[in-house]
Amino acid sequence: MKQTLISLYTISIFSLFNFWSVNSQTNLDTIQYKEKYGLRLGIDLSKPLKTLLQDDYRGLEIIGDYRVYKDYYLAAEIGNEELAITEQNIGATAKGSYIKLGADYNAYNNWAGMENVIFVGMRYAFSTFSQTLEEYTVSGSSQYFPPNIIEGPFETKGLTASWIELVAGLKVEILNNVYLGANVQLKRRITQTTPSNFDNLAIPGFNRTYDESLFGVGYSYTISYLIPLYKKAKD
Amino acid sequence: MLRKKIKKFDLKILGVGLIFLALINFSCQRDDICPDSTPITPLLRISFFDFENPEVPKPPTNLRVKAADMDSIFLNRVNLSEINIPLKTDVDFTEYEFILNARTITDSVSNSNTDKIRFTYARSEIYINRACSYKVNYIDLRIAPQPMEEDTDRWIKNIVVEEENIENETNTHILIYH
Repeated sequence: MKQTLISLYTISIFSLFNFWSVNSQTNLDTIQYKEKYGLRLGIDLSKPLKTLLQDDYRGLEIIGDYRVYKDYYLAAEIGNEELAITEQNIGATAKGSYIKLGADYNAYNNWAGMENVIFVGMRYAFSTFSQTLEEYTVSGSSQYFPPNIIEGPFETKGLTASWIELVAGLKVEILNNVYLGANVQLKRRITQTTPSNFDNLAIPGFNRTYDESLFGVGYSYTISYLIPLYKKAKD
Repeated sequence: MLRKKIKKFDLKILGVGLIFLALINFSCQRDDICPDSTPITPLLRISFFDFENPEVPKPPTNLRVKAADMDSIFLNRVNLSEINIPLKTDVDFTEYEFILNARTITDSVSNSNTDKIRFTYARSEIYINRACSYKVNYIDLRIAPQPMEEDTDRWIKNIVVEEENIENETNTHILIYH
């Protein structure tokens, strides 16, 4: 008798919990969370930081994206860079501007009320730049004569390059409308013009190149501000 | 549902990350050093032949080879019928001393004989890659032995330029008859 009472009591508590939870869920569902749509603008933090810390680097990049539809964003980056490459036998500096245009897809399903982004994206990028051969040592198999070091600078202007980028990263809303982000980029060169009897050791926006490879890599740490233009219910 | 989606995506991110890492690693290893197999600035290849029997290779006895303006010796007392010597890459000529029967420090008896040869050429610098930088190919190689007035006792009887353009070390560029 006592046992049945206890069991009845427990069941009723459980059913009550159950009822309550079901109730709350229905409540939650009825609240319409609206998501912000707008233009997000910011900068790549790593570039000014590297400008301060490294003698042979100077750069700035402005980033922006615009939420077009649900999880889809139009995205772009514009930048200017001066990067020096110093190898054992050769040194060169690339200087110029670049633009990257493309789209991001937010693959993260946010909890209600949150608007963070974990994205994958693609860009078409184009750069115009100059390549300066600073110094090189002629390679010989004999060390009998002192090394023949030739000092420049020998600058070639008006070079161009284009490439495709795959981007993956995240943007976290740390304050209202303020986002901190990080991403990595895999680049594949499509076209480039090189100085005669020389190569592009680096390309602004593409970073250093690799001999016998069309690929390049990059990363960014971003801070951006969302200018909300309108709100739309999440489904 | 939500968790599943995150998990799936995490795996994707991880995959992309791994590819990035692999690429960085791969690229660093390839670019850093200039491999021995890459052709760089070629050496001048000289073959010695018998003046009497032009077909027969004849190594000079105890040959010392040294650039005229260098204190250090490039080859000392070798007995080879074929030698490779470097040419300067910063000027259009290199002058060498070929010393037959070169003396050792303790030897003051041997009858050593020094012949000077001046090699003149044009230089063409060619970009190889970021690890190997540039190499120099020599064009239009000419030889000028020391004038007879300065050296009346020559052991080198004849010099023939076999190849005017020096781009590799596979063929002999200069034939010396003695």
